[in-house]
Amino acid sequence: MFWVLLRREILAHLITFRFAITVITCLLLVATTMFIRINDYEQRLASYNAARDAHRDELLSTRTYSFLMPKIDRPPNPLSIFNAGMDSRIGNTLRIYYTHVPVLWDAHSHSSGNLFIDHFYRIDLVFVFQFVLSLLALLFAYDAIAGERESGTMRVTMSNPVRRGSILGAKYVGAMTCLILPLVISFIIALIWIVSTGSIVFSESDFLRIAGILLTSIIYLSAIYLIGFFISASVHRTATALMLSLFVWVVLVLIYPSVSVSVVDQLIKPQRRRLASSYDAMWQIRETANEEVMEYLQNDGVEGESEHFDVEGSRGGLNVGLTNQRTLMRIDFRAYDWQFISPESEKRVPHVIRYHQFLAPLRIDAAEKMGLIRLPALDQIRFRRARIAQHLLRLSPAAMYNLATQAWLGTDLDGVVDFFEAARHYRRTLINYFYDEDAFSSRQWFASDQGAINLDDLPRFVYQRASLWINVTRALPDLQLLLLLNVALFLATFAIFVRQEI
Amino acid sequence: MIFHIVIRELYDHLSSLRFALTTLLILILMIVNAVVYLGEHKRRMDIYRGRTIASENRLQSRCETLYDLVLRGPGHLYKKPSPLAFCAEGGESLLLDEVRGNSERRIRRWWDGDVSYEFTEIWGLTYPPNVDILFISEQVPSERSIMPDYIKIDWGFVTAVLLSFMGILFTFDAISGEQERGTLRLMLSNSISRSAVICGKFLGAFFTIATPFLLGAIVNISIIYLSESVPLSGSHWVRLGLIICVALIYTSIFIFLGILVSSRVRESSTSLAILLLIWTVWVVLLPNALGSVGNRLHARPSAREFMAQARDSREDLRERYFARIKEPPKQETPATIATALGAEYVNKDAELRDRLHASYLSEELRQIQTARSLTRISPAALVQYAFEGLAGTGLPRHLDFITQTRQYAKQFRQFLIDTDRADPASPHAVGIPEGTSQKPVNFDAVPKFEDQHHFSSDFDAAIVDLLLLILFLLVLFVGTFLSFLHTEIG
Repeated sequence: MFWVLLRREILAHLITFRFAITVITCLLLVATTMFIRINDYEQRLASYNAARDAHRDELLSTRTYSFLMPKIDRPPNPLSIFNAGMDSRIGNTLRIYYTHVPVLWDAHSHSSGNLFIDHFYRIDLVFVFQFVLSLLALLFAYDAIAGERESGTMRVTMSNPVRRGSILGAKYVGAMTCLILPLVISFIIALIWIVSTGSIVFSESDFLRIAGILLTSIIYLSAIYLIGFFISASVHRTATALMLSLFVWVVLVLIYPSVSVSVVDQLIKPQRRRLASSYDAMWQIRETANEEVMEYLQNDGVEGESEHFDVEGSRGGLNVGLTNQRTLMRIDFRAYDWQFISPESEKRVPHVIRYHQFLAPLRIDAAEKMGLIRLPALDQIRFRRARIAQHLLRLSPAAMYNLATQAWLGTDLDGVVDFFEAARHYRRTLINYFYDEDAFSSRQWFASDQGAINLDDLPRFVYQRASLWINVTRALPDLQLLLLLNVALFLATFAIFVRQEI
Repeated sequence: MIFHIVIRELYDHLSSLRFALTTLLILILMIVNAVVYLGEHKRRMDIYRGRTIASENRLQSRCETLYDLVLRGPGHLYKKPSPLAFCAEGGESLLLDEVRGNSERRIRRWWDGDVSYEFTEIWGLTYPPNVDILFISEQVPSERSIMPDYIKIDWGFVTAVLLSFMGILFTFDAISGEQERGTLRLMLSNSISRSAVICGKFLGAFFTIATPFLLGAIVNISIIYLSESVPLSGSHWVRLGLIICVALIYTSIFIFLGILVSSRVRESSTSLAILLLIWTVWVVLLPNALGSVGNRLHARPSAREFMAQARDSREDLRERYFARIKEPPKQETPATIATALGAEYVNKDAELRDRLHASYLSEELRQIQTARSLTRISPAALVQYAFEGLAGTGLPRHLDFITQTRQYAKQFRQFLIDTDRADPASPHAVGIPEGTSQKPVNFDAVPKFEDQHHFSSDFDAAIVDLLLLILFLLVLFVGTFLSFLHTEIG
C-alpha cells in the first residue's frame, strides 16, 4: 500500500507546472552562478600566482639572515565556487617577521578584486539552493495534507486499510524524491562545468566534501519541507497553510539572519578598555626589552652605546616600526645588510656578533610574550561578536545550512583562521632554521660583505587546507541541529496527524 | 462602481491572515530599525564631531607660519553622516568616512657636490593607497569582515523585499481566484467594465499594502523624532516624503505584476509558483549575480602595480626638476631661479600625487558603477539606489563628498597663494620654507572644510532610478490592461 501511495505522490508532483518551472529556473541559475564563480576563482588564482612569484623572487634576493622576512600567500579555495564564505573577504597575504607573532588582522589582500562589490553582492550555488529550492519545498508541502482534506481525497484514502503513518511517510518520501531530483541535476551540471574548465583540480577529499554539501542540502530541504508539512497538518484551510508557510520562509530565510546579525553588530560593542590595557601591557614588554638592550650596550666593555659599534663601511639596513592600536599590532623589526666593512673596523666585528647573539633571542622572546597577550585579547574583542552572531544565526535553518556548507568547504571563519595558524607555525619553523644555521651568531646575520647567504635549506611555506576529518567535525554541530529539527518536526506532524479527525 | 469593488477588496484583504502577518512583520522591523539606528547615529555623530573639532584645533596650531600651513594643511577631511541613514544604509560602513590629507612629509634630497637640500612633500588630498582597498574604513580585514553576511535592516530592505512580497501575496489570486470560484463571470455579467475590475483590484491591494507600510513608517519616524537626538529639518521631511512615494511606486509594480500573471493563468497555485520564482530571481538573485559580474568587467591594476607606477612617474618628475636646479634655494627677495624651480617642483609633485590617487580611485569607482548599472535591471536594486540618493547615503553621496573635498583643496591652495602675495617681504615661491612668507596667518581667514548635504545633487543621483522605476510601472500597467482585456473568462 505504501508503494502505491508513494507512486501516486511522485507522479502528482512531477506533472505539476510548478515543478517544471522550478527545475528550469534552478538550472538557469546554476549555470549563471557557475559562470560567475569559476571566472572569479580563475582571476583570484591568477592574482595569487603573480603575488606568490613576486614574493618568492623577493625572498631569494635576500643577502643577510636578518633580512629574511618572507611574505606568504593564501591560495584561493577552489571549493569557494560552491559557497564563497569568507574566502575572498579576509586578507590573503602576510609578512612573517621573526620579531612578531602574526594574526588575521595583520594580513592584506593581494587581489585586484573590489571588496565593496564582494561585500554587497554575493552569489554562489548554496545561495541559489538556499532561496529557490527551499521555496519549492514549501510549495510542495503546504497543500500536502490540508489540500487533500479540503478536496476530500484524504477520506477516500483512509477508507482503505492504510495506516496513517504510511500516508505521512509516502507523502514525505514522495516529495523529497521530487526535491532531490533538481538538486542532484544541479550538482551534476556544476561538476561537469568545473571539470570541463580544466583550471580547477579537485582531490578525492574535495569530492567527498562536495558529497557532504549534497547531503547537507538534502537535510536542509527536508527541514524546510517538514516545516511546511507541519503547518499543513495543523491548519484546516490550504490558503492559511500557504500564507503561514510563506511567512515562515520570509522570516527564516530572509529577515531573521539579517536582523540577528545587525543587532549583534550594533549592540555588542568591542571592549575598548581591554584593548587599551592589553596595549599598555605590550608596551611594557617592549620597554623592558629595550632597557635590557640598553643595559647590555652599557656593560659590554665597548665605549659608546651605538648599535653598530662604530664599524666603518657601507651599512645598509631597514627599520620597520608598525603600530595599530585597534588591532594591537606592534611590529619592531630591524634588518641589517652591511655590504662593506673597512679592514680597520674588522676588530670590532666580534662585538657586533656578540650583540646580535644577545639581541635576536631577546626580541623573539619579547614577541612571544606580546603574542601571548595579543592573541587572547583580540579573540575576546574581535571574534566574540562574530561568534555570538553565528550562534544567534543558528535559530534559522537557512543560516545553519549556510554555516554547515562553509564548514564542509573550509571557507568558514575557522577555515580561514587555519591559514594564520599555519603562518604562526611557519614563523616558528623560520626561527628554528635560524637556530639550526647558527644565524644569530654568524657574521652573515648582519653583513653580506663575504657573500650572500645560501637559501637552499630555507623551509618554504606550503599551505595545506584542513583535512576532511577536521571539516567534518566543524560541520557536524550544524548538521546535527538540522537533523534534530527534522526529527522534531516529523514527530510533531505525526502526533498532530494521528489525532486528527478527517 | 470602482468604489464598490475597492471597498469589497479592502474588506477582503483587511480581515485576512496575510494582512495581519505582514502588518506585524513590518511594524517589528521598523521598530528594530529605529532603535538600532538611534544608537548608531549618536555614535557616528560623536565620532564626526570629535574629529572635526580636533582637526580645527590642529589647523589653528599650524597658523604660526604660512609654510607650516602649506606643509601640513588642514589634515584629513571628514564626511558628515546623514541623519536619514535609517532609510538606506547604502554601505556607509564600508565606505571610507574621510579623505586623507597627506601627512607623510617625505623628503627628496637634492645635491650637487657637497651642497645638498631637502625638499619636503606638501599637503594634498590622498586616499589610502597602501592597502588594496580604498573604501573599507579600516585596513583589511576589518572587524566587520568576519561577521556573517547580512543585509542592513533599513527602509530600503523593508521596501525592496517585504513590500514587493506583499504585492505578490495580495494579488496572485486576484483574477485566477475569482475565475476558479466563478465570481469573475458573475461580476462581468453586470455592467462593470474590465478596466474597472483591474483598477478596483489594484487600488484594493495598493491601499492594503500602503496602510501597514505608512503605519510602520510613522512609528519609525516618531521614535526617531521623539528621541530628539536626530535633527530633522524641512528638507529632510521632503526627502522622506519622496522616499515614501518611491516605495509606493515600487509596490505598484509588483501589484501589477501579480494581476498580470494571475490573469494569464487558470489556477491560483500555478500563478503563485510563477510569481514567487519571478520574485526570488528578480529581487534576490539577479542583483547579486549581476553585481558580482561588475567586478570582473573592468579590470583594475592591483595596488602593487599602482604603487610601482606612481613611484615611477614621481621619480621622473623629480629627475626632470633636479636636473634644472643648479644651487640650493635661498631666502632672497625676489626669488632666485632655484627657489622658484624648487617651489614649482614641490607643487607639481603634490599635484601629480593627487592626480594619480584620484585616477586609481576612479578605476575602483568605475567597477562599482558598472555593477550598479547592471543591477538596475532589477527594481529591487533601483529602489535601493533611489533611497540611497534621497537619503543622502551610499555611493552618490560619497562621490559628492569627494568632489567637495577637491573643491576645498583648490580653494585652500588659492588661499595660501593669496596670503603669500599680501606679504611684500616674501619671495612668492610657495611650497618651500625659503620661498614662503614667514608671517603668522590669521586663523579666522583660513577656509575650513565642512561637508554639506545638497538636496539638488542627491536628487540628481536618484532621478535616473526613479525614472526607471516609473518606466517599469508603466510597462507593467499597460501589459496588465492589454492582457486582461484579451483574456477569455471561462
